[in-house]
Formats: sequence, structure tokens, C-alpha cells
Amino acid sequence: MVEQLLVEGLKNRQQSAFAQLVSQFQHMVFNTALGIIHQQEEAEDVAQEVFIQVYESIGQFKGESKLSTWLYRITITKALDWQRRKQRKKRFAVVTSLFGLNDEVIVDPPDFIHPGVQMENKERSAILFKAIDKLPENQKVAFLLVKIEEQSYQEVAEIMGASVGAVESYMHRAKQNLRKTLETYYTDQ
Amino acid sequence: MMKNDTTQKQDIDAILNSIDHISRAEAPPYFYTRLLARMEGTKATAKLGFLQWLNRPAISISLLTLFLILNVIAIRGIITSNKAPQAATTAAQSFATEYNLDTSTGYSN
Repeated sequence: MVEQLLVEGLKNRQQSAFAQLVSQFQHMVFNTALGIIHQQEEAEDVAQEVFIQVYESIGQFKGESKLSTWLYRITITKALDWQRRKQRKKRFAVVTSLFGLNDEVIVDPPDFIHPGVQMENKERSAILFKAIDKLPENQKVAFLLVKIEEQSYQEVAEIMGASVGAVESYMHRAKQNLRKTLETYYTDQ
Repeated sequence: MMKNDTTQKQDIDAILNSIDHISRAEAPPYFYTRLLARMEGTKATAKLGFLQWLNRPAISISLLTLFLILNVIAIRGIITSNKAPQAATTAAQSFATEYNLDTSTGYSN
């Protein structure tokens, strides 16, 4: 009921409704974006884009899912788009540097340490986030939503537009792949 | 060797469990204020949207070329119009000379 009022307010372009939406969901959106992007400023930028899109396209929200589910979907789409753009740029920079067209040095960002990780786990979590980055998109999204947003498999299934069985499978494969990546990491050490 | 494998497995498990019960990262302070500022900025840019097409290289180069062509035409036009009275004068003078209507000749007698 409260959510319905909020959506009505947003559709009527009430600033108080928009302020309430941002206040209620800003941390959720930012945390989800940060889990994929690994850079605070960029994650904030993407989180802002999410709220701008919600403001502009609230008319398309039919209320068939929860508002939070819709916000998760927009956030994940935007964060993955950002990551694809970054990877494209990186590949392009590598190709141009091969032909001597680009003297720019490609610098990888430092290890990502999530601000919510406990002190004793910081180093381990940095290794884990690096490995998560190498997962296929579906596995990555499912794993991050379960682990850093503590969503149930049912909720993740709704967000991803998949069945609970599919999410279970994504999680199982994600754990297997992470284990393999980490074993390689240990072998290379 | 066996012990090493066990240690490695334990280490990997520890890494895999390192983000269990992680706290949610909070959006930076003044997130809403910055968001509103960005939205205002976007609105202002949208208002100037009709001028945005001027920034496109194809449009600006075409406009510049058109401007130069118009200038060349205008300059040539001015030069031609300056030359035209002279030509008319020369024709009138030769006509006057031919028929002995030259003013200096007319008053010399």
C-alpha cells in the first residue's frame, strides 16, 4: 500500500515522492552497482543514472513486481553496460598500442576492497572479487545478489527473470568456477 | 603434499566465505543533492538541445563552407559592380569620341 502511494507520487512527479524513493533505495542501488563496478565514483555515477531512469520511465512501471525488484533490474543492466564499455575500451587500447597508435599505459585499478567487509577478511575478499569479475554475467549477478545483497534465491529469480532452479544452477556453477579460478591463483603463487 | 592440499582447500574456503554477512556499502553523503544537481544540469542541456546539432562536425563544416561560398559570391559581386560603372563610362567616352561629342572638343572652338 505504501509502495503504491510512492509509485503514484512518482507518476504525479511529486518531489517528495522522489526524495523518499532515493532515501529508501540509495544504499541498495549503490551497493549493487559497487559489487559489479568496484569503483566508488563510477558506482555513484551509475546509481544516479538509475534514479534518473526511474524518474523518467516510472510511467512504464506496471506494478507487476516489487519496486525494489525493478530497481535491481535497472541497476544490474546499467552496471553491466558500464563494465562492457570498460572492457571494450580496454581491448581497443590494447589493439591501438599494438599498432603504436596509443602510447597510453593501461593501468588496472588497485584491488577492490568492499567497504562492508570485516577487517580480517579484507585481503581474502579482494582476491574473491577479482575472481567474481571473471565469472559469466548470469553467475556473477546471481552470486553477488545472494552474497552482498543477501537476497533469497526466490528474489534473485524474480530480479533475473529466471526460475529458482536456474538461479540454483547459476550459484552452483559460480562456486565451481570460483574454486577453479582460486586454485589457479594458488598454483601461480 | 596431502597437508598442503588440505591447507589450500581451507584457504580457498576461507576466501569463498570472506564476503558472507558483509555489510551493505552506503551511498556517499549528499547523494540526493548531487543527483538533483545532475538532473537540473540535464534539463538545462535538454533546453539547449536545439543548439546541440550545431556541435556536429558535419553541420558545422557545412555551415562554414556555405558561409565562405556566400562571402566569395558577395565579394565577387562587389568587384563586378565596381567594374561595371567604369566599363559604362569607357563605352560612353568612346561613343563621345567617335561622334566628336567630347566635352573638351566641344568647347575648344
